[in-house]
Amino acid sequence: MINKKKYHQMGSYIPISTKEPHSIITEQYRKLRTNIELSDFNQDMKTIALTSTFAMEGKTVTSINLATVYAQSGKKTLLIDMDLRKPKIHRGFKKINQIGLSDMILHNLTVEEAVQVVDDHLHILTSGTKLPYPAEFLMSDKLKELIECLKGKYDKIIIDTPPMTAVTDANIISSLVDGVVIVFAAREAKIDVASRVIKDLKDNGANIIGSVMTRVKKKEHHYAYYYYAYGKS
Amino acid sequence: MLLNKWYVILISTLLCFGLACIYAYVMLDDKYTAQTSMIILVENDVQSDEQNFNFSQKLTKTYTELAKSDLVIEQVISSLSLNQTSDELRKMMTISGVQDTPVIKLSIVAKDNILARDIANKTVQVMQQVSLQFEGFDNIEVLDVAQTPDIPSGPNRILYVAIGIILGGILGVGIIFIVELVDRSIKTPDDIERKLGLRTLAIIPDYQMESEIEEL
Repeated sequence: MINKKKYHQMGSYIPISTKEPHSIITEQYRKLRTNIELSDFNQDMKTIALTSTFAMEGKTVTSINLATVYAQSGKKTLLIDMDLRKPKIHRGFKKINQIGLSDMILHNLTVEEAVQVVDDHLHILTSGTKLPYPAEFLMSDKLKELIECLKGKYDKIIIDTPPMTAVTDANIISSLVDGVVIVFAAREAKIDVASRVIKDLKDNGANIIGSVMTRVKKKEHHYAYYYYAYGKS
Repeated sequence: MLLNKWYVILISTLLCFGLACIYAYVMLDDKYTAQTSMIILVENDVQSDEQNFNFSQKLTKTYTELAKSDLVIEQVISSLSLNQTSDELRKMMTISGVQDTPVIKLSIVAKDNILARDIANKTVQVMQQVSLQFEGFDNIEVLDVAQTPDIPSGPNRILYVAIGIILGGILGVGIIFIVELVDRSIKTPDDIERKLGLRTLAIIPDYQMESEIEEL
């Protein structure tokens, strides 16, 4: 515990929702799940993409935990890593990103061949072999068809994307999904950048469900009691 | 909100405290005050004693003005061969009549204690000489001769330091407010709702999971 920042950069992506299902932080991810479910009664939120304004805002951690709590609720959940440039999802489940999404399309792999099983309800699809042109790949009709196919096999599909300001990928992905959740790190995300990102997404026809605020310091909110015994297995 | 950045207040207070200490104890010189007093006695046979006494009280104002006149000041400068200009000397001088008495108090503040004493006594002496030139003014008596002040009368260093501490605290609070105003980051779920028009679905506290590398 000497250098917390370093630990984070090394990738502490293990879902707290699995390790400590009864912690109050996990409860917040369950609240996120419930609020997504309640957000629109007319539309079934089957595919949900998570994005953020900048890198390191907690988008991947949120995706991993959201998928985990969906799986815990008995839904057959697939977590897809569509951050093709810096994939990280596999780290949270101690898996290897060898074959994945890109290979499914390039080599016509079946779902069973490409997807990695975490448990009965949670499957993950890593990004796969690195591609030279991720944006073009994301725009392809084959990917659209693949997502439609996956929708038939899973109850929920959670998609992790790159940050909005870095590349156009998240914008493309937003048009493939039923809803987008934007992750804002408290005191890091800038209001003007965020409003530009929201405008981009809306112009693109994305359905923004809402936002998640991460990195909220316990002093700033009355979350002192959230801190009991986390990370002490 | 303010107390989250208590260290800003602490730093600015300490900084201003330090600056005030340097200013008060290093940059400011000691000041000495030499004090003398005079009494005005009007002796006029025509008027009664009481009238004379009242008249002397009224004269104190005239004498205080006399002390500040160029005539007196310049004579003091030339006879003591001072470096100060007449305006500078005037600033060093405080002269006032004691209320309801015919007594005038003169004090001189200078960086040197002997100089303060000399100026005070010289001023009284010159005033006596000058008053001789005018009819009816020949009646100043020295009440107390100025002594050499041993203990510096000023500056009030503790006051400077106290002001420094208070200003430092105010400065710190001001800095925090300006930073908060200029900072255009998202701080609360309320910011998201009001400024971006988005619902906040969940608030995740800042937490760290222990690294997987450690566990392997």
